[in-house]
Amino acid sequence: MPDPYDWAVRFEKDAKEMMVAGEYKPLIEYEKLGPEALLSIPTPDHYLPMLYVIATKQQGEIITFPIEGVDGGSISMLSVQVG
Amino acid sequence: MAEILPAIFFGHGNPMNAVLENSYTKAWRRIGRTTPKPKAILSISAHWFVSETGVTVATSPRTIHDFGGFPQELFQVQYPAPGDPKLARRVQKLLAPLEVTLDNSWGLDHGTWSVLRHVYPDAEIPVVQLSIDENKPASFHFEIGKKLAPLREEGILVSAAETWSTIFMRMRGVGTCPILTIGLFALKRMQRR
Repeated sequence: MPDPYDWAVRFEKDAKEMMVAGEYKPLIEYEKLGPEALLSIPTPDHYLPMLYVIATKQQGEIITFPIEGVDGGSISMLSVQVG
Repeated sequence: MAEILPAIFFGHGNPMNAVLENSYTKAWRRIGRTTPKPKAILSISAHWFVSETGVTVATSPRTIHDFGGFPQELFQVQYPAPGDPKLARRVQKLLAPLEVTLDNSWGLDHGTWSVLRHVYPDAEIPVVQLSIDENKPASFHFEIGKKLAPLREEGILVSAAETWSTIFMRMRGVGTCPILTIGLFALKRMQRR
């Protein structure tokens, strides 16, 4: 298995930090997030389902990541759990 | 008060994970064992990316093998979970005044079953799929997610499965699903850097 690409690792880290901090606006406007985001989100269909999930978060709930990591160089295996 | 179910996004990765046993599939199974059992699942899969918002309304949604070039084993997978027309209509109501089509043509695609067959291997929990309107901006999809939040208090597991950064699926010769091939554009972009 190839080592993960730096940009894939960086974007996963940045995205997780924004989710935990409740900074949803930049996640919605991901096209402005820079080259790591654009490489990680080559087409929106693969990314948008995540927005549905974080949008259900209620006050006082936390976001956790039951699965993390990048497979095959660039495939994010991240799981995001709300509540 | 009823327990509020979590909402979970799964990065499903290589579709072959559907028939493999590895650290990811083990973790998916663990999620199934440790999450309170839902009455039904609303699944948002990137592989139903069309020009409208629709929900599957069939009582027995078919298993869709929406990819090419994978081993026969993957084409033989069936995930015979029942549908839940009542949940489909509830979603339609929650999202009003947005027009939501009650759809009889789609079923459960690999975004849904490649993960769920590990999370709930017995396929006993009803599943409804929600399509993603390809013409709408990201903010629209976030707003839909907000409107779906009450389902979590009604015993419904909101589950979304997709995976970003899919560029090298094709490069590694493991076959493609139609949408994954689009990732090659990004590969070209990266090579120019």
